[in-house]
Amino acid sequence: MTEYLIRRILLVIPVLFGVTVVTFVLMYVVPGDPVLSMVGERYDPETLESLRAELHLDDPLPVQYLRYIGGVLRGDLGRSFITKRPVLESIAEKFPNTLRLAFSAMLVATIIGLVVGIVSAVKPYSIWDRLSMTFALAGISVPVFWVGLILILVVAVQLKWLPPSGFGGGNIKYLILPAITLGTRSAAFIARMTRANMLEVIHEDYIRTARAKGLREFWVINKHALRNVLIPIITVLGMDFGSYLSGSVLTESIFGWPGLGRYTLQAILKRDFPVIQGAVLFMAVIFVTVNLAVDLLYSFLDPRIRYR
Amino acid sequence: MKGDVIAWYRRCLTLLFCAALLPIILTGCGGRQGPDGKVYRTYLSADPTTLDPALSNDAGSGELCALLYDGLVRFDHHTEILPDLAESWEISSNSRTYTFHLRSGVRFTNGREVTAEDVRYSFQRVLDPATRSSRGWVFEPIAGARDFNTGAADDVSGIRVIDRLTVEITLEEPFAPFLGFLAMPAALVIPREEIERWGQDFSEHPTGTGPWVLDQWVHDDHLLLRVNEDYFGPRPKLSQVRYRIIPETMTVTAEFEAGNLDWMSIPSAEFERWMEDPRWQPTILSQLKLQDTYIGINNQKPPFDDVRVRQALNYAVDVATIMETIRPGRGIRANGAIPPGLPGSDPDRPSYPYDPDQARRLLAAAGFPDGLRMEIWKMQSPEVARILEAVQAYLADVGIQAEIISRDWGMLKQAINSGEPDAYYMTWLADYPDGENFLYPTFHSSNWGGGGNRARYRNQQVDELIDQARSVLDDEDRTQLYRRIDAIVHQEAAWLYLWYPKIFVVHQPWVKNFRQHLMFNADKLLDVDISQDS
Repeated sequence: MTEYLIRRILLVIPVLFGVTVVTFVLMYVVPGDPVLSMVGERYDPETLESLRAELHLDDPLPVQYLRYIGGVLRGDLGRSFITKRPVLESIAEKFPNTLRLAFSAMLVATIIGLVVGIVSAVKPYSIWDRLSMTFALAGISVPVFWVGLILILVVAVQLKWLPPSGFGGGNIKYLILPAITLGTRSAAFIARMTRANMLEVIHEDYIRTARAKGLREFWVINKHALRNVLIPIITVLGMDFGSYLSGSVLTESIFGWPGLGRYTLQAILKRDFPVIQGAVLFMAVIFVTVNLAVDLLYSFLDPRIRYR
Repeated sequence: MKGDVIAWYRRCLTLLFCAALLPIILTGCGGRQGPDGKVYRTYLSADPTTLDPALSNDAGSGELCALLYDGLVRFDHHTEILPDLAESWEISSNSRTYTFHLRSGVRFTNGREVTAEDVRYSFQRVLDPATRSSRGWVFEPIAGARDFNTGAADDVSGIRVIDRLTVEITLEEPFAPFLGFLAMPAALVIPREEIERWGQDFSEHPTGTGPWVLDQWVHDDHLLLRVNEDYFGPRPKLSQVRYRIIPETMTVTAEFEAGNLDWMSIPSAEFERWMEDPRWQPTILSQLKLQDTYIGINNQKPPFDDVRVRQALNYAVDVATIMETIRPGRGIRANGAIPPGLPGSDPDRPSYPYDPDQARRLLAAAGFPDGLRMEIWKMQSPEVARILEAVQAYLADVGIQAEIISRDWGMLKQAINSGEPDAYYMTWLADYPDGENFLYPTFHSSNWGGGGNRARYRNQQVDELIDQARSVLDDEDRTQLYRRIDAIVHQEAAWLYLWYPKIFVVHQPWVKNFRQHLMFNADKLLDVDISQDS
């Protein structure tokens, strides 16, 4: 296990190196000039040239890359071309907000998804099953943007139960609507997966054996069936959680949530190279870490899985 | 037995629902708010890029800088120049030297008194390449500015500190709009010691003399301003200003309807709903912006280098009908580049009429009897797409097959500035309220591309007239020259002229003295008030 862990951690290094190279090259291939975003609407060519020189954008690409990597190895992701703020400081400021939203969304997705999926599987083709699967289909089909706006209009504007948007200094009231918006799609996926897997599992011999032993149905489902259903669900959750941690541009934009997704999107639109590079590298680290954690979780959930 | 499981999970869902409701019950409903004491709740669509005036080049940061700092002069709610840090000034008989007398006893929020040396430092800092400001052009009319900017001189010779409270600025040559330049964000005055203390992080610690002080800035979420108790002018009627950062217009509308914002700009997509709602009609205000909306034509790219082709484009499109159907009541048909309200605009000049036959005749005369193909580039926006689809249909009617190309702003700007598109949808907003701002950057041949002349228009007579007009200080003479220049460019159809847009805003009934300002950086929030009294 330890050997496996070390091997996986070592594999992260070329992955992250690859990410920095690809991001760096892509930024220079994609049209759009960061200096044009800095100068506003009216400028003279001398200003452009002087800014390019100041930012070392006129250096050869390998020199720029080496300078950047040197900074990264020293823990310096540089400063935003546009705001002049240190990139690492901004990421450190926004990541806890993204983490908070991602955790809440996953909580919503897991609880709703599992409950709805199990109810469906236990009574297939009942009214509960049909209602649950309608929810699941709607959850997968309806765009996040629409869900968010409808929640704002109904829950915040009409019913006046919750604030429409904002961070609210961390007040939980502000978290509920974005978490539901972000978690709905995952909840729907999990519900469908749970139902499908549960329907398979509850016809297995060991479930019949458990019932024959006189075990209550509640424990048959929750202890014996659910545990075997969890492996594929954990995979989906891990993937979704990883992507939520990279920021959820739409949800963050609709709810004015100061997270990593909005920060990165703004940087991309303004060709703010240091921010794009820093944010993508950070997201890659997060994604790789979450994937590793999920892989390790498999063996915890299913003792048959062993890593060598 | 399965019923047990269902019942258990139903209990789970009920508990989950209750858990979601608990914070609402515990903390009270988040519903409709009334006024929040004397706190003015406003918004921006994006986090300000900076609060350092030298680096400010967008409307959001310019608006905020105007609250935190002062310049020598400022704009009133219309376009008049008012004294600010300078209580008076004189202009020499040759119109080149401006002598400003500063108010005595004005203090920065760090407690130090403002002196003429601060003015010199602030202006020179914008010109210093190390500052990386793109607003050097604001001070370019000053003698010696270019030499300092290029490193040929250690100081700007045209800025001279006469005594502690007097600063003299000498221009290379007379320049009529100069006072307007000094009311721009780049000319706001900052203390040197705070720049030296904070370096690149000065923006996080803005230290000015304005009526407001930055209390808190949570990036991408909100900014909180409090009253500057030492402000030299009248004390604001509000106690705090809270700027929320809300990127989505639909969310802005929801926040306003929930009573959490004190005003909002009415979004295009919901214009009719708001205008027809009797609840809001008494608090809806509108104002013509100092802005052009146009389709720029690349005047150097064949066949658009032929004036007849450009005129044909103007005759071919029924702009009035597009306005009535897509933007009813939200603009005035453009008849030139200078918008109404500025010296040089000409209400008597007719716009291009919709005349497809004339368009076909002009195209045939230019050698395109069967029409031609062109590309119109635009930024990604649903409203712009609707407008250009209508334009595309009108052009097709006279044989012009127009393809619409969508790009994000960065790519669009780069392409336009390098002269790539045949035509592009664009707006031009005033930096300062003078007709020159709609002629010199946009049509002088020295400003091709990034300088503002994106249509790459070139006419030697127009260049000479613009150069002449910039130095004429007599308002009436300058106005006549502006009219003449605008008429020539309009006749030569440098653009496909669309409209001067009107902005509509709505405020909550408890907001008093709400006034729209023509210039984005003119409002210091001194008059607006929050009160439930009718």
